[in-house]
Amino acid sequence: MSDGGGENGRKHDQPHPKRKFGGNDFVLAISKIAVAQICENVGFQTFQQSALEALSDIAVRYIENIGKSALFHASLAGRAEGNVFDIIQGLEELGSGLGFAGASDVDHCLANSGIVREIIQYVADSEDIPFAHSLPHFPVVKNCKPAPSFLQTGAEPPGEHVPPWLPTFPDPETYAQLSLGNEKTTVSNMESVEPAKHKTRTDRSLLNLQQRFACDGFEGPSSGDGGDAVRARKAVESNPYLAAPLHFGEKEVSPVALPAKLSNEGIVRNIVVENNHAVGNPVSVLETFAPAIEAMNSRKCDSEDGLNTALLNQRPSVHFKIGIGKKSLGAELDLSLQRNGSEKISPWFGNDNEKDDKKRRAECILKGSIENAGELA
Amino acid sequence: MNHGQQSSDGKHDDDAALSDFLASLMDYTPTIPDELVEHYLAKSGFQCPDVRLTRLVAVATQKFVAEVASDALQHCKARQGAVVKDKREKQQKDKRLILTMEDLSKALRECGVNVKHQEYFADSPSTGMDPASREDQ
Repeated sequence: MSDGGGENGRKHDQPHPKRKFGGNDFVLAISKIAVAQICENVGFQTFQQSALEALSDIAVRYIENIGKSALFHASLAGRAEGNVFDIIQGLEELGSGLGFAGASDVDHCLANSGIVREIIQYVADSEDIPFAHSLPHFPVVKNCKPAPSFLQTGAEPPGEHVPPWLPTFPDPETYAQLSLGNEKTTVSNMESVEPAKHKTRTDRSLLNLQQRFACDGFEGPSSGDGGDAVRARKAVESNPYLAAPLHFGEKEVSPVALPAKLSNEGIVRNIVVENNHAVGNPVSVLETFAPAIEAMNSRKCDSEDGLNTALLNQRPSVHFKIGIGKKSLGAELDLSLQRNGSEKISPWFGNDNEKDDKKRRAECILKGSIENAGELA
Repeated sequence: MNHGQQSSDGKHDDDAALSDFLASLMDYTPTIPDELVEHYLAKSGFQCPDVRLTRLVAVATQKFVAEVASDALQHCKARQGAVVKDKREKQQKDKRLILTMEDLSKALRECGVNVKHQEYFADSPSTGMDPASREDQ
């Protein structure tokens, strides 16, 4: 019987240890032990490895087949969980190839199945041989604890796009880039540079603010509280709901009926004087809008050389009829913008239409304020 | 009428026998461990928390394996008897009852399982060695 199988056998043995510890191999090893025990109980003294493997494989498939057909019958009956009759049905199907007592009877009761009777007989005859080893319950399901979510920890997600049910981010030092020795200096440099940047930025914004204040200051140059007053008046102008209510019988008449012959300035002065008497606010409207008009004039001068006054006088009728409330809001905003950037604007204004438009707006505001002054008086 | 009464009585008896058997399975420990059966039943999709059903499957499988093994044993004994008659001198060596693929495939064929085994398969270092050298190892 010597056929030199020893060497071959050793070669076959080589790959074995490598695939020994798979998830399925453990179960297969157990089934092999169980089948070997059954074979020993039957009367075998030893076995071929291949034969034992084949038999244990078939035993495993037998269990799986029972499970499958039992599941099928349970599903057929509309149940999620199987019961004993599903298993008996599966056993009968598996045993139908070999045959069993009463298999020919189609209407037989499952409780009285020949298969069950055979099993009962087998259990009664065979002795109770427990499995050789004590087994842990498997497969082991690791009870891994998930990381707590933002909701659980009460932390705020770093971005709006991160929903709070997601697990919290790890500590920043785990994913932030580590600074090595070389980088450290650059980082410190950066730190020293950055505050300076900040400083310049804040300086710039401060400068802007100052400029804005300066511009505002133009509106009420005559007194300290003039700026505030003008602003309040502006708000009243722009918002018709804030305007003083009209008395009964009083009509909202625009003071458009200014005689065009009279000089603009004189009339405005008069009204302003009245206004000052009434409100006690020494702010002249014309002075308030002086910078705008001046800017307008200067721009005009670029192209039309001093026709501005004539224009101002020539076209009042159109604009006086335009509504006061809504229009003046937009116009005023535009104007203030324009005023802010008055230094830069000049090159844009090659266009006559645009220029006219601006001017119209400025006039409109002027009239609005005059009107308002009248109302207050 | 009388017959129907009898059959219903029989059904009651069957039910009682089945429930008794299932109850007795609680005390019986099959050789195939519950964990193994549970694992494979779960793998096939069948789920039931009742340990008696697991035991029922285990017992049924055990019975099946035992039947196949005893069939193979009969084949083995028959083959040995034939061999022994031919060669008296090798009686000592062949007395051991070995589960071989040859006998197993014959036994499984009766159950409808076709096992195609290799004519020659060296599956362990000691395969094909002399019994004397085998004992040395």
